[in-house]
Amino acid sequence: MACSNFEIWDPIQANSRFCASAEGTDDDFLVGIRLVGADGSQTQFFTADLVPGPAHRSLSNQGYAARLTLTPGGTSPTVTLKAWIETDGGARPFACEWTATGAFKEQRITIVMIPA
Amino acid sequence: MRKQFVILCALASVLFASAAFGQKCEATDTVEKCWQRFNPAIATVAAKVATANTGVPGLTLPNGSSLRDFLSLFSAAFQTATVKESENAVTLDSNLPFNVVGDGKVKFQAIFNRPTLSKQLTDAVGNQPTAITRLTDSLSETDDVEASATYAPQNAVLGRSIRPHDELLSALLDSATGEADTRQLRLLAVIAETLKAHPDPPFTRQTLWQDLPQAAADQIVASARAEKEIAAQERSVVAAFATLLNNQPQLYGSVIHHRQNRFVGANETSGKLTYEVSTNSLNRFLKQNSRCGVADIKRQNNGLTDSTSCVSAFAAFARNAERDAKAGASSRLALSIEYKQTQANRFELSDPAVVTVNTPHAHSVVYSLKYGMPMPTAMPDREGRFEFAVDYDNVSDDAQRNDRFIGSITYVQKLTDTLTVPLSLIYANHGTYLPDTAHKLGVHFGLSYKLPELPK
Repeated sequence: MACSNFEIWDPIQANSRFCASAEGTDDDFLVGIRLVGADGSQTQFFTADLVPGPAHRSLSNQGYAARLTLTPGGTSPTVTLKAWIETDGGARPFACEWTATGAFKEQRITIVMIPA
Repeated sequence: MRKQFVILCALASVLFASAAFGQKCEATDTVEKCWQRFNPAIATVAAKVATANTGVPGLTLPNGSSLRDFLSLFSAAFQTATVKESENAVTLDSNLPFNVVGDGKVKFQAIFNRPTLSKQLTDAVGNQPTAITRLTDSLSETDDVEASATYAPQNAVLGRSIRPHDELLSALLDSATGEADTRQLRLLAVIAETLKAHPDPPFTRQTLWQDLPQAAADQIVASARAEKEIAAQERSVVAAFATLLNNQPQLYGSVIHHRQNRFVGANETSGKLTYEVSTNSLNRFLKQNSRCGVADIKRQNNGLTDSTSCVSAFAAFARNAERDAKAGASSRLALSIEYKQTQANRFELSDPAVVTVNTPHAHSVVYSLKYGMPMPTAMPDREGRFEFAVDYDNVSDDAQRNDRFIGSITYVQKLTDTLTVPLSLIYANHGTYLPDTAHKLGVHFGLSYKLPELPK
């Protein structure tokens, strides 16, 4: 599902996982994610983690915010980045995808995750 | 304690930002709407190819570019000529990923030249216009085709692909904005907990700005403003990176087969090695700033070495590169050597004329030097490109062929992101199979189109 460049995911159940993966119409692109918790803990995912992915991180019962970046290279491929929350039971209460194109036009997305 | 510090920092930035900027959120905004007042969503733009003007794509054409495009998925070009020198050539060009040593691209190219009878055949037929017409009419559009496969490695030192530079660009971005980005994200995470603790009314995506706790509302504004600044900083680093990446050297090897109807000429097979080099490349930056490798930048980001920032050195280098490009100095030199085998071409005809054509097997070495430079125009992203090229064809084993020199000057104007128009002046000391020394000067005009991506 296509989403906004500012997403609020509410509520996030404890022990859920933040997951993400990316793909492009060719491989000339970069993607990255920085996930920070209210306690200051930080996780970074790079292109190698996200393509083909998924990369994931377990979430504890606290607030989180994530910054996602998509940077198409000179071929201007269409880059698709998907991110979702996976619960203990495998359900996906929140799932989004974003696309970017245009040579070296960086697109940034912010997700705020509110604990249940 | 740390949370309080984060909130204090946020409040301080709110005060600063309020004075510096007039943007604000409206009472009836949702949090998302408020955020987008500072950070508008980027509309999906139409897919477009690399902004660099890559000139005439034809690998074997005398006016081919010094900047070989291994980025566009597919391109097509047409050019016509006023003298017989690759007259009316159509070029189809495609790049496919091919991983042999690291990441690489294989370019497949086909050039459909308009077939014309060889000089040997027309000389042998002599003054028999009907026979010439019948022989010409027997030719089809696929009777003079050059097909080539070119492999170009894409890695940290060769090629213009961004993927091999993930670590370096990430480290530079981290160095430029990483700390501020982390701080703002942590602030948002803290705000998330504040919103969770706000029971009346319970926070939802539709909660209006006026209904948020004042402190949380102020923090969101501060964070949105900070994101706007961080995004601007990051985009300037990415733009600088793109400038240097476009100047990276390229090394590629090609196998070329030229298939011709025997009436047009002999079949040829060749191998060609080309090296393109440019000033102001990423390699040059890393060579001149030996303490700005990925590991060095990461150490600096972690405070393990002195705080000398590579980002400022990088930005200064890129600024110089852009200035040089405007002055026409961010140019590209391509050197190539090609070994070519020409098959023997022997046949006899009794109809429509009695003729015998006999050209021996031959081989030649072609040395090429091309120099191209971008020419800024008044329109942004519509730069022109000048190309100067000289080829020297050193022929052995064929007494009917002399060594051949070709020189060309080409100007390529970019009309749209996908369409370019080349205009060439080409000089050859004689035609391909002409033993005479009659000099040939021709003007070529054409159109080149790059397909942004294959339709899904």
